[in-house]
Amino acid sequence: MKVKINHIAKMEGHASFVGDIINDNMAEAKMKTEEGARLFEGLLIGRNYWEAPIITQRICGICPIVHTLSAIKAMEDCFGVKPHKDAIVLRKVMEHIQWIHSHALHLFFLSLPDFLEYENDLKMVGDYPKESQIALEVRGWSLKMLEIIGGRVVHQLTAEVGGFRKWPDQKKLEKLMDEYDDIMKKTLKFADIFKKLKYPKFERKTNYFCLVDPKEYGIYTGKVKNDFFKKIKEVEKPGELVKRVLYMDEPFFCGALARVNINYTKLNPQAKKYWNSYKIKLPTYNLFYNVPAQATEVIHSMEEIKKLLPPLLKRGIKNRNVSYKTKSGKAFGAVEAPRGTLYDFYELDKNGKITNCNIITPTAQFLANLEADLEVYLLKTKKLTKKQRQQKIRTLIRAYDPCISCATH
Amino acid sequence: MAKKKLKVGFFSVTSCEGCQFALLDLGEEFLELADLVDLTKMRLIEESEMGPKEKFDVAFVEGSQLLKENIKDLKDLRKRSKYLVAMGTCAHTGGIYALKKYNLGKNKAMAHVYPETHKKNFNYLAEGLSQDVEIDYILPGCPAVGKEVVRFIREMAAGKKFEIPQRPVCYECQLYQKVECLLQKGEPCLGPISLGGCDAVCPAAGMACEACRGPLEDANWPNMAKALQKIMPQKDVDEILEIFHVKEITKKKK
Repeated sequence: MKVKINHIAKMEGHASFVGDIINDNMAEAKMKTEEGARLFEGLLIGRNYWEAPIITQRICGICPIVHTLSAIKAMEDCFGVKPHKDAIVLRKVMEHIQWIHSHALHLFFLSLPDFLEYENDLKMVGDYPKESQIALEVRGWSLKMLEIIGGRVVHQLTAEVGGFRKWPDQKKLEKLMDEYDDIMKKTLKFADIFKKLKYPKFERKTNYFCLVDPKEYGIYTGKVKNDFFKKIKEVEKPGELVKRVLYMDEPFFCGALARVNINYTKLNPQAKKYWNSYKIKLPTYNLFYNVPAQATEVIHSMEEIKKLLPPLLKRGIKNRNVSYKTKSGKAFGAVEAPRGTLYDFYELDKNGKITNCNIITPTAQFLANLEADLEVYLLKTKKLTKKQRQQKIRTLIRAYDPCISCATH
Repeated sequence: MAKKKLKVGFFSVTSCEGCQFALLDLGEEFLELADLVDLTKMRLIEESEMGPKEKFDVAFVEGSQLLKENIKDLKDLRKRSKYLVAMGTCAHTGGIYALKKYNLGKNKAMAHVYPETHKKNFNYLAEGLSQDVEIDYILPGCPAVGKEVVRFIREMAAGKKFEIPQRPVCYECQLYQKVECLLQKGEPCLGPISLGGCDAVCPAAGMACEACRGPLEDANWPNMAKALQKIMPQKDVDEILEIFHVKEITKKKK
């Protein structure tokens, strides 16, 4: 039985689903990406190191911050630049805002309508005015902070190698932090929406990867474990522009649920309490729980901002840029994007020109895992009507929060 | 009788979808548009299928037509739409992805990214949607300016003529941002020749303008070139003009 969903909506980037239920025990599932050849890794060759963060953030309009920061980290790694601790604080805050606004958008506007059975978000917003208001307020607050720190929401302007082109305005940040307690309360209410949903029972064992920092829930720092780089492979297939990544030839997952599974103990208290309220035993291999995991991270990130920003504001924000010289060599950067770990590899010549580049995005890493899940999940939909089956499949795909733009950079 | 609402659709070909997010990020200001126009198609917030006879008064398109299907879809959309609007730099000039034209060139760039399968992949150089379809309006910028998209919709709904004032980025930089002039500080800021309307967010954030909204109609290139010559060699200036594909427009102007 063939199953096809053309142009899946409410997802970042374009893709279709093609599946086939062969018999009671076997099914095939494939995500067909529908983005053309942008060739970021090719067009960056020959360009200047400082252009990389400006150019790579154009990979994705929902997570530009992580692309810019990963590229900056890579260049700093190559030149041996150690940014001032205040710059690190501000970059971490940017990362947390990136999680909040990307997760909030996905949770409320892309995934929630699946659980409440809405095809059109505007209709859902009309039927749930209070919840929508909260979602917009929490997200709006995070976007305001990003505007103050990054200069703009989509495709930030300030962060650069060595620090910031312009350091944020102390007074504006203080004023926004005055609203923090109110927004935190609303964040908890926002997260409660996802507690009331019914998550399908579905498990398929897999491997999880993310940055692990012994001191904190890794987001800007930390390392990936288990010989990740030695054991992964980017797989090319003719006519396909996504290079799926396999670990020891097997699919794996990265993203919110991977992070909660691996870094659970380092979650902030309220985030931990929220996750615990689901009574999900860890490790869990039910990818529908990526939804509560993202909601947990929204709370975690809000708590983290409260830890990071007030001490910096107390010290006072000053220009702390570090000067540096370009050097030839290898450059490596990684950060936790909303959808999982993003890796940037470059080689530079002595003038800081890029001679080689490889970027491995989260969705390219977990796409094979999504397909493996869909193959098992398809079998469970055998008795449903065509429309119901399509809806179930869409719900699982969107719970993954794939970003096809990133995957086909 | 109430006037019939304009039918508006948002579409993307190959893109980062940043222009649509710049609009969605306006939050309520965006949602209020639903009262004014009939927002029938925007795949980020709904999943209806397009009917075979569905038509649009205004269709916005972001991105570059880098797939055969993208080109086909664009041509189809042209037939369905009264006004086709190129939204953002990719749709306007080809933007960042058109960088594949330089350095390695598009074929070697493809071979670098897909060493095993490059020969089988479609590799199109799109330098604006107008390469394949006729465009009625351009709302430029990387990303497009959300508030400008809203203003466009409001003015179209009111039956007014939409125009972007031909004023340089410097105009807004001095008027609203009141920051020290980057060009005078010795940074290669393209503000004087670039189309404003962006509130000069880049110079305000310490970043030199790279003309993502394209040049002014009557840009004074000789003066700009003179100012930049003092700052850096011509080949470095050329590289900056490449980023948002302004170099191609300057070639045509000469």
